[in-house]
Amino acid sequence: MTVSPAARTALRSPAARLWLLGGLLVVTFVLSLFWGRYPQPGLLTPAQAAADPLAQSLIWNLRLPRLVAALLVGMSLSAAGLAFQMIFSNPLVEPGFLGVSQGAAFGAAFCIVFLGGAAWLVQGSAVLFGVVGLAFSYLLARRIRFGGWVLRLLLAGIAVSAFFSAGVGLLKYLADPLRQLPEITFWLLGGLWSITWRQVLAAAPLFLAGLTVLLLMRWRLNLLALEDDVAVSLGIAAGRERLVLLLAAVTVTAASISISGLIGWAGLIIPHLARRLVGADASRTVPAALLMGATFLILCDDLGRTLLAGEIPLGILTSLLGALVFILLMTRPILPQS
Amino acid sequence: MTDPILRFDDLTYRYPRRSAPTLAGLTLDLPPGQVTALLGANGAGKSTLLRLAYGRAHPSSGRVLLEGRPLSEYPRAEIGRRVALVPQREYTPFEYSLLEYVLLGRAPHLHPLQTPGETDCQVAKDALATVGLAGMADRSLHAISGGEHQLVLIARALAQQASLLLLDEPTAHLDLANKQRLVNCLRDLRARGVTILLTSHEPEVVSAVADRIALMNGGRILHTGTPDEVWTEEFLSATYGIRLRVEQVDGRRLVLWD
Repeated sequence: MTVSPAARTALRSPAARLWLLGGLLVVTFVLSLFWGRYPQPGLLTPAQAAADPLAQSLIWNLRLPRLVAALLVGMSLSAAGLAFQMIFSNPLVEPGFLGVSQGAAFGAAFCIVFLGGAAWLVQGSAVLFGVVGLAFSYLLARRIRFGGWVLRLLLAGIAVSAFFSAGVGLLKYLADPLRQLPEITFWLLGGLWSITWRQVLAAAPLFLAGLTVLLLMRWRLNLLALEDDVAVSLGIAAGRERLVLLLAAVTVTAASISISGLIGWAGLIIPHLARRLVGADASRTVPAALLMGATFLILCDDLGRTLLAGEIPLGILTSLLGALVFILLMTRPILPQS
Repeated sequence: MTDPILRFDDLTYRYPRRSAPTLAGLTLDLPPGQVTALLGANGAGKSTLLRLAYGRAHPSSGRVLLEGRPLSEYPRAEIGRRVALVPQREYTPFEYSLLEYVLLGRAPHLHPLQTPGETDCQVAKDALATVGLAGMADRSLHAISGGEHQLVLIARALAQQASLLLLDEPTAHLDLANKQRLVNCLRDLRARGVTILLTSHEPEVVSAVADRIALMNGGRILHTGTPDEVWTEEFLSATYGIRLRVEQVDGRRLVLWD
């Protein structure tokens, strides 16, 4: 890649990089609307779309809701992942780690094995058990007798997640290998293939409320990343602000799981990439993570729905692409900070 | 004499599930513009006292008065604008620039939905300059020495624009050159009229910066006075519970143990 020296200098400013990420998202979004396997794999031209009522209906009723969902889920997982990493002052946590993801997985698998696999039931059960997982983690953390609050929550989350993932293992073992097991596996890998406007609109208030809180209180995440003694000395109500931000992060995570199943890695990797691009200050990493997460998930979903005649589960692509991009960006100084 | 900025008034503090109180009837005044050093053995209650001084913990009995008003009556942010803490050590896994990190000191001046603005940036830059790190605003927090890290923490406390600075063993873990750098910084702050309460185990640091020394033992103040009054074999031996000798070398005091 050759970049002129002037452009290189301009690219070093974090603000310029945020604008660039925003532009990238807009372009990705618009192109993705016309990208697909109808009428043949590839890009639909606007002229073609104008002449074809079926293509228009496809764009408005299938691709647009799916794109909006990918955008919201990508933003949510990335911003929630960043919030979790900062609140727990640990760059290795991801949004589902407080028992939310494994709880939701258990809820979905339980529903598929014992209650039939109606989509709305699976989603409802997943969110319910995700919240149950979180509640268990919280209650357990209160009972742990050593360590600070952050360490206790971390340990409790690990224990509760292990508990539910054992349950998922058991359910997979019990499941009918021809009917139920593929369904469980597909759900666990996540995807947006069956998304409708109704689902998107139903979950939209949760997404918007949570993301707004995360965006508005973004600078405070820096303070919550400090030890409690220090955070309090800086004059903030650490307990209350942490609770508000955690609730916002969990809300958007649960909303994501409810429409897309489990999508791994985005919530872990995107925050790291965001920090690499714009520095550690959350007043910039939060917007960066929102934009990058949305772009990343839209691109992964584009590939998932067009690469093969059938759907590739989104979770497989997010892990594969995420890991590749991650390795690339972590091992070479492509974009040095000023 | 002017009113103290902070007054510890007959404080008792008991940690839950511990029988002996950590503080037992402690009284101490911090006069404005003075550097008070708190000396005492490990576990004497120095750190606990610092926690009470900024409202992180609340006394079991007695009162902490900040500018004449009980600390418990202040909203959190208002305490943050008056009292700033410099912890002994601090670690964050995230690679902030020094300026970004010092800006965190502006928190008590900002609404929870606000991000720091131009004025805040200027205050943070001035604070960095005060501790002698003016040219390093863009450096990474992970790429500086232990001594510079301690100075950054002081700069963050200065960015709070508080009238009282609490320092918890500011020179622990520092080599001699950095120790000297830190002592010079503290002297500079004293010259600017900042009130300071610091804990320390290092006699040479304390005698270099303190106007007053408070000796602490068993949750009480054993003795308070100028370094000349307090720096005696009798008082120091009682404070630490071992026999200590005080020697004068070039007009500076040395504490020796047998």
